[in-house]
Amino acid sequence: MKGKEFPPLLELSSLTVTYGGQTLLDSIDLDVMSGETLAVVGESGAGKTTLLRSLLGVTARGFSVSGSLTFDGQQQDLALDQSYGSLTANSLAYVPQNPSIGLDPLKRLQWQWRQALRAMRTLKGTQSDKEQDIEDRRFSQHILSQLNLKAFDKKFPHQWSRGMQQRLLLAFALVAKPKIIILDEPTSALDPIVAAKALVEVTKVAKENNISVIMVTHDLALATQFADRVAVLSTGKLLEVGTTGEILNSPAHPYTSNLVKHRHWGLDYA
Amino acid sequence: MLEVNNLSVRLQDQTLLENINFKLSRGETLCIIGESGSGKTTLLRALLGLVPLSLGSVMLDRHVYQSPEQSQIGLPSTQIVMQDPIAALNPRQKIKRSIAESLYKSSLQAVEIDHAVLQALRDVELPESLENRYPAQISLGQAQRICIARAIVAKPDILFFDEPLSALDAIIQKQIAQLLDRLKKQNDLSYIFVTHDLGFARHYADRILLLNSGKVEEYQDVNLFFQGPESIYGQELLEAAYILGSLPQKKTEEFRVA
Repeated sequence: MKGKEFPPLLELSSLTVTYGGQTLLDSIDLDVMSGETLAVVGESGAGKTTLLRSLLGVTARGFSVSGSLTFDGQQQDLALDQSYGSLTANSLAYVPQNPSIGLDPLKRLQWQWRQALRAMRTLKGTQSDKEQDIEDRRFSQHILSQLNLKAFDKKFPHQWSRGMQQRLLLAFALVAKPKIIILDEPTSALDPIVAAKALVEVTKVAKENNISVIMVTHDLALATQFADRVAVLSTGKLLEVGTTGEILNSPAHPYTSNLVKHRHWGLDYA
Repeated sequence: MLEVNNLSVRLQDQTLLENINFKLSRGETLCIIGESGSGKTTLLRALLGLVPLSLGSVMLDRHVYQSPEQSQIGLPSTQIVMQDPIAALNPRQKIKRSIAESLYKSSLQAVEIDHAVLQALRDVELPESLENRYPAQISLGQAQRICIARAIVAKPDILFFDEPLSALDAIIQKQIAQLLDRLKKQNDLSYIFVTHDLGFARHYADRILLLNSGKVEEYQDVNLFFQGPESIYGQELLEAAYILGSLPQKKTEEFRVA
């Protein structure tokens, strides 16, 4: 539905990451269109986390990064400027796999939620007038109810279950109305019923607000359920990128067709 | 063969498991499914004698236990394979010793034990040369095969598995599942799996035991369960599995009409 006439929102070209002579990512070219859901699928050791960290500009010391990143029309050479996180900082929301690292254990949830709202306003540079206040409050209530989160009750993070913490982080990500949300293994901390509801809601709200979603997962079956396009990563190389239909029906790479064949335990009753 | 009657586990004032009943016959595979905190692992631990029973009885062939004291001995001729294979192996022991450990108390001679270890390695399709390595020198998939070898070398009747595949990549998962299937037929074993993977349960289980907050929500033949669970909770769980792609069939389009 979106042709190539629109420039991609985010474009990585020949991203290479090395660490101590080892190539972790080998010349990755990847683009993300505005409003689409892109899944990055790879098994353990494929380089998913390194790719995420490079995108966020938080690669650890000793990693050398090269290539270029174009975001919203602005280009940056990654080898020259390691602080490229600033290019995407205000437009990119990251939901970690482990929810406890995303929340401050010493602050009440209500306080953290207010911080998120305040941050959103600062980022957008909006003045606090009455109309905007009402609109913001409405949107934040909408997000909370969509994710089945209600009263914070002056609770601290540890007083909530992992599932609720994870949903709160998803709400944090959505309420800031970023351009891109990055989900790192979004289902691994959640039980299936909660995970299914949360993911359906997040992708729905993202679509409504034209937010792109980058979902990083080891689970091809999950990826194909939610993504518009799927990128397959293996041992640091991007094997192929295609629409979900292309990946499922005519995978170009033997590695991908093997993954496709083995999802659902090879069951194929439709 | 195995019969569990009215099993309950209480810890202080909390009821972890309440009134669990099921049977397992020889050669059967039972999958215990449920969300985290539903009591899956506690049930396995109770059967293994790691958690004392508060009420009820467990009967394996002629061996019965019903009191907390009896239950702590554990069932004979059962073995367990855990979720994290590297953590389950002693890092300072060679593979050979890890596998042989359960045989030291038997009446076997040293030569026979060595022979049994090699046979076990062949059974799990690993090269014999692996016996002199340490756990840190083998892959995750190999380590899980070692844990399986260690379990079957003791010639159990029932094997327990606590999420045995969730740490592994998809293709290796499938290879190990096929291996388990073959070993089961070869040795006439019964399996009890604790798993959250409904695709796996659908494929490999004969019966399903669905737990929800310590109670049995459903105990059902696998085909009947997947055709349509009786409980609302079971239906919700299946629906979620379809949305998340753990089970093939429905597409998400119908759930996310924007």
